[in-house]
Amino acid sequence: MLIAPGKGGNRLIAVNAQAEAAGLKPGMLLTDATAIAPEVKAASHNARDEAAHLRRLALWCRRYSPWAAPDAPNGVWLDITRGAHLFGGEATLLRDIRKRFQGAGFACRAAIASTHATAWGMTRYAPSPLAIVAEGEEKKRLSPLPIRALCVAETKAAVLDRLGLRTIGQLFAVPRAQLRARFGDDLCARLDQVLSLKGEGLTALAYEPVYFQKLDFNEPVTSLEALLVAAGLLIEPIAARLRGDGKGARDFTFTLFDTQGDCVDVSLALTQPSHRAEHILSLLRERFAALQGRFRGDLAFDAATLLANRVEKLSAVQTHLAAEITAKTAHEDALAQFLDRLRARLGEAAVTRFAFRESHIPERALIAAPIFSNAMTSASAQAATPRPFLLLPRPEEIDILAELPDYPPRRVTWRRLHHRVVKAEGPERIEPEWWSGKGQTGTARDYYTVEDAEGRRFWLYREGLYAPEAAKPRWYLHGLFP
Amino acid sequence: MFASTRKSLALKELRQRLNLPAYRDSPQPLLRPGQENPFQPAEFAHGLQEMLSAAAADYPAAFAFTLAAAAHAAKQSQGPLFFGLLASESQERGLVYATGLSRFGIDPASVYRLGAASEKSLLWAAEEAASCKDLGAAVIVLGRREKLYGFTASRRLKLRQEASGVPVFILRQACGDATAATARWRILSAPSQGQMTPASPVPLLGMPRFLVRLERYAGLPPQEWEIELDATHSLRVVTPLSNRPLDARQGDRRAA
Repeated sequence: MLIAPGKGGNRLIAVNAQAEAAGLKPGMLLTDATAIAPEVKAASHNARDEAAHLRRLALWCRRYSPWAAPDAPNGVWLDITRGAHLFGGEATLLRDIRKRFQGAGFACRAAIASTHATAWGMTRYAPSPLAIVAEGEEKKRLSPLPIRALCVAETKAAVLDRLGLRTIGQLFAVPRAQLRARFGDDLCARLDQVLSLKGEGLTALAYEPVYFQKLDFNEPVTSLEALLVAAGLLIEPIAARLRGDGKGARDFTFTLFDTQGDCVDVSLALTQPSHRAEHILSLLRERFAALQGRFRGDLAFDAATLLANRVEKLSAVQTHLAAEITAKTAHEDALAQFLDRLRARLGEAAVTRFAFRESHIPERALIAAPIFSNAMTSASAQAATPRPFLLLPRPEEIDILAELPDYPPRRVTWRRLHHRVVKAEGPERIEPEWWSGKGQTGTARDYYTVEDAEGRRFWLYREGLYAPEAAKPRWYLHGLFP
Repeated sequence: MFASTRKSLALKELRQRLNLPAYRDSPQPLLRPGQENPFQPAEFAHGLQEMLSAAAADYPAAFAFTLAAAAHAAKQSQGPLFFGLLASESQERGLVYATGLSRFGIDPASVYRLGAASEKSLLWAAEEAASCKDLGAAVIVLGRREKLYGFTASRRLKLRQEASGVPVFILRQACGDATAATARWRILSAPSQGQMTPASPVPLLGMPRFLVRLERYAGLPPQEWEIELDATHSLRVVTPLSNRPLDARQGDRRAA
């Protein structure tokens, strides 16, 4: 049994079958429970772990439907609208769920109903562990169940109990106006939800056509090659449907379900929406190669799903129009596939483009952006003054020999090499950005471009302004010119 | 086609009218068709080109010459450029800074940059780039301590490159054993032709110059040129015995 602090001391949160047989019930005081059955062991209840486990169970349940959500504290919602036939009908589906949960060591009850409220009540309070409520039968099936099957607050249930209203059927018989006056709106609302007279927030989800495919393996599979074959089988129909709809997807999530009630997600993010099966498969192959370490020998998978997300209409499907357009499309396709392969193998952040920011500080003006961002503003790319083509991420301190203050140095020592300066330009003063808030305590920099006797060009700056009484100014090398 | 010819004629006329030194002085364009120079752009900008920096300090010059050549190669296909570098050497050798790329006529918007974690993944990416026929050119900067690049790696790269036709430039520092590259260049930085002004205590900087040595190219003896990257982003041979920076020579004599 699991315990947690409650009113009057530690109370029982959950009990297992043996404890139940000994007469223990959730809600009991721990002291009472140990008096009844001293041999039962107690463990403290950890709500965070339980929520995390429930979430993983819900993720695992996506093998039945892409719409699965945890229902704290002890349930999982599945929306199987128009999906039950894939599993051989609703009854078979329920039996399959129960079998798999029991196989993983869970006690399991399940119900299918056309409203959430009914399914909730039937799951927890129906006489049989598996229940299917046909549409229109909600009232009849729920009537014999206790009031608590309505998911009402415990205090209200206790009051109803005292009034002698024990079953939902008795509640249906009471006129609504009286119920509302006595117990408030939510009880009536719940009754309406049961009968689907009133919608619930959950049911109001609008669906895009879902590009989703599932494959059950006859035997648990452990080898990566076999999983890739499965991925190929899953991609084909989705790609065909996307092609038929003239669409492509940017995100693909390939999920592998193992026999232990856990799952592995392999996600792909594409540069351009695509419906090319062979391209997606080749990217998956790259990702698998990277994931190899995570697949240990003891993991066996018995199902896999593929979900295509961020589906977009492909504008360039008129391939028979101008040859120019076709050429351009093919052009971008090959480039996008090249970039996808790089990102799949070397990581999402490995390939970048340049993006500019409005800043005068050289190292702040430029950032590495993901390849599909449009952050590039070419206008500010054209600085009025020359900029180096190689910039050191951290400026390096150098020793200099200067003839006169505010003149370019005569000699520069960088990385223990002396360079005699024969040509120079500058200074260009760059002030710190005082408007960009706290943390900007830098000083002004005076930048010089210098060339040594061998023709090597450096971009140097002196930190701070020359002041006769100040300490020796520090010089830094910040960039390299051709 | 017709429009572009007219545009280039108009540009030529405009340059003559402007009469700027950059358009009339002695340096001859290295990469312009119809010259006696054996390196036509079509020849220069194809295959697998190896660019060596003569010393560590010549790395910026070698990189700059490579960028100018790659920009020229990419101009024909109008494709984007791909830079592959080692992420671990960004402090040691500097990050490519987009604003400075305009010096080579490269649009920063058409550059894809890879920061590879190892030489192995860099070479893998190089092979992928070499077979992506829509790239304008690929520039691969090998690390200071290369281990895997050699004859086999360059042969694989060359085969891929020949199938796609994308020019690939490999920038290296060391020059170990033989490779399968089409050409091998060695680049040094050279003093620019400075400009004296009364307002400045030292001469101002001129256009960047490189000492370029062609070490290997099928059927040609090794040759050497002094090349200038001019204001029109083209590479020109600096004619010997003219436009020598006078002050630098005097300085040398005095030092001697």
